[in-house]
Amino acid sequence: MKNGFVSYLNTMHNASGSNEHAIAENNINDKDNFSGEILFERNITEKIIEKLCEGLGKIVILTGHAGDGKTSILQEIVRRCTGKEMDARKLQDDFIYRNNRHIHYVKDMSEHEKEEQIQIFREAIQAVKREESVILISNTGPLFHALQELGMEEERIIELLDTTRLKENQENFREYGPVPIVVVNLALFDNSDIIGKFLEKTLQEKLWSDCQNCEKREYCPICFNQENMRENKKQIMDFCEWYYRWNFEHGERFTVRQILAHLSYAITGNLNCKNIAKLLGRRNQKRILYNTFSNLFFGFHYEKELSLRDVDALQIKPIALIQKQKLDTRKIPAEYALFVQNNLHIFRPKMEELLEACQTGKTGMLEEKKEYFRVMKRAYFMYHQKGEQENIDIQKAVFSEMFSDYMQLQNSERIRKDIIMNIKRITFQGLHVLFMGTPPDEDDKIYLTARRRGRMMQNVQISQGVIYKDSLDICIEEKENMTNGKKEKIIQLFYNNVYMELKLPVLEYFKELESGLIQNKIDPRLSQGVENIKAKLYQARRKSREDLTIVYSNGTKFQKTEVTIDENGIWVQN
Amino acid sequence: MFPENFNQKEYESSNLSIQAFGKRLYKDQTVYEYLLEFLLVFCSPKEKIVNGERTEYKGELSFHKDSNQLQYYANPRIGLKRFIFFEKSKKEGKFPIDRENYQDIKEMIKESIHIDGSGEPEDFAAILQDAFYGFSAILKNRSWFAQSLLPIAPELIFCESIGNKGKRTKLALDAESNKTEKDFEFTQHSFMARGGELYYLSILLGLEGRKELRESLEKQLYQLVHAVGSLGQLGEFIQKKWEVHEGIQREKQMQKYVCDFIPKGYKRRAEYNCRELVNLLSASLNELNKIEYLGMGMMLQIFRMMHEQACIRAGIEEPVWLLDVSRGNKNIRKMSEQSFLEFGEAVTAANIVGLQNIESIRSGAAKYKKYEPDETFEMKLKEDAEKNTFGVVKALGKEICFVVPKKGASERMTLSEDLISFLVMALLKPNQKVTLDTFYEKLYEHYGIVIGGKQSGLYSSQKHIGQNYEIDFRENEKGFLQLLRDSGYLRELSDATAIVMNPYEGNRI
Repeated sequence: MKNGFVSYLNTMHNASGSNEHAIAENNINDKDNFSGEILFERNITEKIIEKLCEGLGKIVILTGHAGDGKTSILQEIVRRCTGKEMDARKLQDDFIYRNNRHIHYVKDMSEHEKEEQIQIFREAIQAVKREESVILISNTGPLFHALQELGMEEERIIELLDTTRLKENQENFREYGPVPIVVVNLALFDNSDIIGKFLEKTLQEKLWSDCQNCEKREYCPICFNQENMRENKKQIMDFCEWYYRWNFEHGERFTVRQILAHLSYAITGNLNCKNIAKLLGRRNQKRILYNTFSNLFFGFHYEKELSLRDVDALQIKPIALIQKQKLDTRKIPAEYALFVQNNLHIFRPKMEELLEACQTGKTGMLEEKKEYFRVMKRAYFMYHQKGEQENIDIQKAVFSEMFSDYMQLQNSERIRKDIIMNIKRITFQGLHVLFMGTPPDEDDKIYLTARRRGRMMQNVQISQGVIYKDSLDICIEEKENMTNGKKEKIIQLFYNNVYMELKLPVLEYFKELESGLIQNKIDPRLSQGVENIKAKLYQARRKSREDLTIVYSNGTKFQKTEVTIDENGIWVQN
Repeated sequence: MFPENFNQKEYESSNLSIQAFGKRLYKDQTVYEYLLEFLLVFCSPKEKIVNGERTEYKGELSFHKDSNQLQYYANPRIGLKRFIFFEKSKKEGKFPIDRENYQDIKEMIKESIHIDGSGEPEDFAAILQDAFYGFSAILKNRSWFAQSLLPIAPELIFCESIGNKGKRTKLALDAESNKTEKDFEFTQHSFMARGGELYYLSILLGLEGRKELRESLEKQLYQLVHAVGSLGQLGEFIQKKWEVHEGIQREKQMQKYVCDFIPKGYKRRAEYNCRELVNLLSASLNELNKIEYLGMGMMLQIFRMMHEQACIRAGIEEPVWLLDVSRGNKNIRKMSEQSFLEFGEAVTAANIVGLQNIESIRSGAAKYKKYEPDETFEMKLKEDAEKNTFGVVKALGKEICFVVPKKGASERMTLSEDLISFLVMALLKPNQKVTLDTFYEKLYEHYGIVIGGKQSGLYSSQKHIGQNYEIDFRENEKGFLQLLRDSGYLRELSDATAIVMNPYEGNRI
């Protein structure tokens, strides 16, 4: 029995050659029956429709990386506004929607010649003058070129492209005067909202009905996978979202296409019904375990009775990264229960039974044993049923302590005071180490010392101001996340009327400083954010050049000395 | 030459490197000493007004208003220098008279300290010493008088002082302080070898007719050299107190220096030097970090000025610098080696031009008088010039990681994370973002730097390269992008558009 959906999923990743869906816009074509089945809506679509219909006419530019889903979003807009599918053959078209708004769309500017691209823009401007709206899909290259040709400065174009606010800008074009433009640059958005939507659609039972009657059902890792995933759906979605969110916060962003490739590979393991039909007539438990979603998600699969790195899967960017990050080698609190007590009740029966059946793997060579533990660990991340507290421990151990606080803050309705207090404590301690080279003593204050790069500890330092712990505050600003529709919480340090954003990597760095894991060489990407915070604190608290405060360590505590100089001498106040 | 009133006769009798590149580059000057000397000129008074018995000095913390009057005055502050460095310096140079004076100044400071609370004046005097010493810039196992601090306050930027062993050991322990403090060589120019003056002149040249730029740069430099202004005040108190204590007349200690001349071939770069400094200094970055970036950035600017001047003087085509950031591409490495070789050849060619004044050179310097104006003498002149020009590029280029490898053959030009930081902060204003193409253009325009992109085509046509090195240049670009990304200056707005950004906010001056 063949399930066409398995083949379809395999076309979405590039773990083997010739997977058309993974490398072109074909996944929205009406080539097979399944693209319609897994269509999901994106929050941003409604935002764009609102922009197109509100006020007078305007140009909405939808841009981003190849694979960010620009065309899919346009298709969704057309579908929602007209109730019909977009005609794939047409490069541009128009329709009328809410408020009787005439809306034109251009499918892909890059499919037009350079001169035509500028002409398209001119026509768009003219349409806006007629109080109509236009949505243009374009890669940033042609967009840059066209806007520059129309007289816009490079820095202004960058400013338009480098924002996630969907703000309407009145742009002055030489011949046309002001034109309202909204730029939606998908390359700046976090795409992790699609994980849940995609998995929900993919795990619909009807898509797997062919498997129910398949004679290889018992031996089939893919069939096991979809059933097991359905049982553990929430935990799987959560872990996948953490992974993508944590990377996004660290500047590693993936396109929609890359995420879908990763997830679909993790379901099939690049196996298909033909491969499975060749399997011997006995159930191979290891083949099933090593090809479960959790193992494949990390880029490991079944090969010769072992769980091995799937070299072909490294073509999938998120897998290449997850292998580099080695998140599955980090120590987790549940290891004792898993490996020493061999407590498998923390899994649902299906997985428990599978793991029990594979226990023989533990008697192998050391490396094999180690890898088997990792298989269990990966399974634990995605299939444990120990509840929310356990998830906090996983977040802390696999990603970072601060990530756990960060996610709890993002997901809770009200602002939790305990988390805010923790962030404040860690920030204070981190800043203390940064400015003074040591953790705080019993005095709750930081002397703003003039410190040299790369020198963490100086016994005698010159202070240029002092900050008391009580005068620091942590504030939360809520901002709408355009992709998942949630309220994003921006963490800010507030001091003396100055706000300083504390991004996750900076909080993690402060936490490392607090824990004594002082790094001599800070990641330059991070150092710039930290330097900006330090500069703001200096400026907010800088003393006049006449005041001299010397801070020195007497071994256990920092001693502050105020020094005043006049013609009679040096007056020291301890 | 700049300034206009330079002494033609002196110019002609100067050695080859001075004729070619101005007065002067010297092999023994370190990176920090270039910076310190530049800031010493900026911070020092430039005008001396004698009014009866009173002498006044004016013009501190500003650039010379009249480029034909380029003198500046510096107090060597020997007492303070001794207080800071004597104790921890090497044995040589600790002459009995200085040990005696050191004990005296320490005693004097102890007596000046009044403590409200616990603690002993002696301990606090040691704390003060440590506070200064924590900002040391050049120690290098040198004697105490040749050491220096970072330029964190104008009062802590010292001019050169070299103690002559013969002279200082002869000084009696009860010798008069006006003599003991003055009995140093202040104008030998061994460490403060005038490289900073040369750079200062280039800035002055760049500021000609640009009032706003001058004001802006003066404000930013003022801020920089007051990074720890309060320590400067303490330094000034100690020195003044010492002068009073010992009856030292400051006026008698003041040293007069005069900046000489530079070639006008520096002009194109000179304005860029100023604008780049303003950009760098206006970033909201810790001043101590700025000092580091400025030190290495100054060297890069000087190298570029030298190369352009060399080509003008030798009548060679405008130079490009092909930088190897490819992380191992052989063709790029070879081309970069060639590029560096051409730099050296241009410098040599520029030096040689001065041989037309060989007779004036021979009669102008005592050390050359023993030579006949023949080939041996020419060779000696060329060798000396090479050491103090391209030799400087090689040695200091390696120190700032612009020239690699540190040892061995295949020398070529590259960029480190620190140099990339300097270039981003110098070429872009705080918070400015430009496309990668624009950044390449700026690198090319300001420094003739070629990494890839359009500029690689220009390079190939300039060098008449028939072979297609497109793939190699692409690898070089890839390495450069990685360097920018790792240093936190690159953002990808989409797969087609990458931007380079200066992530620092502007300071509020």
